[in-house]
Amino acid sequence: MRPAGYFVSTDPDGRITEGETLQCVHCNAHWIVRPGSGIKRGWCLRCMGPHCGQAACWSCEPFEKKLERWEMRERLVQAARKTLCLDS
Amino acid sequence: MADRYGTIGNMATVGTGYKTALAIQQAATARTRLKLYDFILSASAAPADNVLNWRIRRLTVAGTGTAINIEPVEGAASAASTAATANSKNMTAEPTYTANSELFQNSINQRATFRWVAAPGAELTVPATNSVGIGFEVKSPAYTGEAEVSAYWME
Ligand SMILES: [Zn+2]
Ligand SMILES: [Zn+2]
Repeated sequence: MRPAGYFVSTDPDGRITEGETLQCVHCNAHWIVRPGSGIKRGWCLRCMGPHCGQAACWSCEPFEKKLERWEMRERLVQAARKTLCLDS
Repeated sequence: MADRYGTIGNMATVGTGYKTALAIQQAATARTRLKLYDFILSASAAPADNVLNWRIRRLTVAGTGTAINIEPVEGAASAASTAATANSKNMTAEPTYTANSELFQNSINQRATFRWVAAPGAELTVPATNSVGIGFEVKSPAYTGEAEVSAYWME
């Protein structure tokens, strides 16, 4: 699986810990890959990518669609405010 | 091409409950999506073995804090559309966070410096929606010194 992010942790004694993060195809979250952590993640067959495993992310709504929905809601709210003359 | 910006935040006194060290927020009139691609977490008090718990979540309403300066990474870029240069770091009243919106979570030793960078296209993205954003929260069971965060994003 292609990593979605990289981290490096530097200790004062010069020791460096590096690793990768994966990203949820549904909510945009990143997590550090820790084999054996026991945290249950998932894989979306529609998005063909990993999801973070939180309850909401077990159903498919691609993150890009989510972004568009949030932005559309904002435009509707602004349009309604204008129509109702709520903004002076 | 997108312009890149950066800022720093801090929590002067880390406590046992989460407090916001930095909030990056859309302006009251959002112009474009924000894409966070790089952050650095550290602690600056005298070295000791403590753990700091960090998390990043989505927020919808600003809190109360100290003003931040947003600087273009390329010196000549236009001013950021990111708002909230006021009330954005070392918060004394927390912003309103969205439930179950954790975008990252990690526990870091006080002696360590932690840096994360997104692969291109995998940034933490804030919609072009008025006043929404993401916040960096920190807590510790024992550490009561200062914690710092540097963050960089495209817009
Ligand atoms: Zn998710
Ligand atoms: Zn999906």
